[in-house]
Amino acid sequence: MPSSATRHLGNPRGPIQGLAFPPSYRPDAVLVGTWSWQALADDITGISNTGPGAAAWPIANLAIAYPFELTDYFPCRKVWWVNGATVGTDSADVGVFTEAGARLVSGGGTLIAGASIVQEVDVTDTLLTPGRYWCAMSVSGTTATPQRWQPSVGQARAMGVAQMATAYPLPSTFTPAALASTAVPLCGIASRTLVA
Amino acid sequence: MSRPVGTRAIATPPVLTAASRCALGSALRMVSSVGTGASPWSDAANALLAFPFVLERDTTFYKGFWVNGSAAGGNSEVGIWDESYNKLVTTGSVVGSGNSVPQAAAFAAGATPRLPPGRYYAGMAHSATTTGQLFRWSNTGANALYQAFGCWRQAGITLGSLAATATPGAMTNIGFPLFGLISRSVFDV
Repeated sequence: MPSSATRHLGNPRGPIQGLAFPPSYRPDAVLVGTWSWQALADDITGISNTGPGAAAWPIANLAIAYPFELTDYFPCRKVWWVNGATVGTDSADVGVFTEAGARLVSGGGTLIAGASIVQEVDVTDTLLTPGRYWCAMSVSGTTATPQRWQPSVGQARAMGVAQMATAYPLPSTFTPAALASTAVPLCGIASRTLVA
Repeated sequence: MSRPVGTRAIATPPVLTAASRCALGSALRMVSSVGTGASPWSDAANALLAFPFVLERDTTFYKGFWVNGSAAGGNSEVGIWDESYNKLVTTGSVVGSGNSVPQAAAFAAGATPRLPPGRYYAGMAHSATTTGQLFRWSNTGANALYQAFGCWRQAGITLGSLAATATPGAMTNIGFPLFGLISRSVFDV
């Protein structure tokens, strides 16, 4: 096991034969979603290997959150989700919480409108620092059909997904509980305007 | 909004499995997806199966976990080994409990390891072949793939008393269990 003293940025095992390795560095993309490499990309592909589909939210006011990591500082300017065919009834909220559950930014709740599109919500520009976070989505009812993955509960929990009941709009503290629904939302954050 | 320079290393996923980007990742799609119900441990009883992973940052792991199938049972043990197969920490032998849900077990008290960046293995042992269903990848003939991914197997271990150094061997089973390591302290799985 390499000790901290022998570590080298970008090459934790240290330089080899005097070669200088460039530091490993992969900037975060302009937007981060469930599918991102910083989130569940490999987990979804490797564990459930399915694509998202439109379906009603499992329980009204339920928040479902997935973990993600930022390597870089990320200016969060928008939150977003993807609508299915049924819109105009329920409202949705997407936000970012620290791993400990403190809300950093959220949309505050918006009527789901526009069938089969990416729907974005402007938020207070918030600079997220490198680290680990939750991205949560909550829906106020069970009529609208946002896009979501539907792995089994056991699969989703093994990806790190959790839920919180009675959490619309998203509260100031996200208190994770064991996921009980087969739903992993297709949502995220953006550092630029997507469609507005 | 100005953008300061970022860090140079990727944080460890809070829930690390064989499918994580720092482990085998989406390569597992070449094998299959994870079966979700009634698959028993597909190796011999008292075998240890492990997958490789890398850490880019110091990481503290608090628990190990696996996912029980439709009928939990048998005993399981999850642990971490270094690149030289030295055992770093395990959960000890734990009785399966809770159907179709993950089961987490804390690492031994005082032994939550804070690991520096490097290369490691996560392993899981199970006590029985017919008692206890588990979520797992399964594909007949995939042994070579698992081995090409860097996975290894050790037979004839004793749960609760794994050797200080593992003796890795070739994969011989047709399924790889869904298990992993938890590095978030606020909530497990």
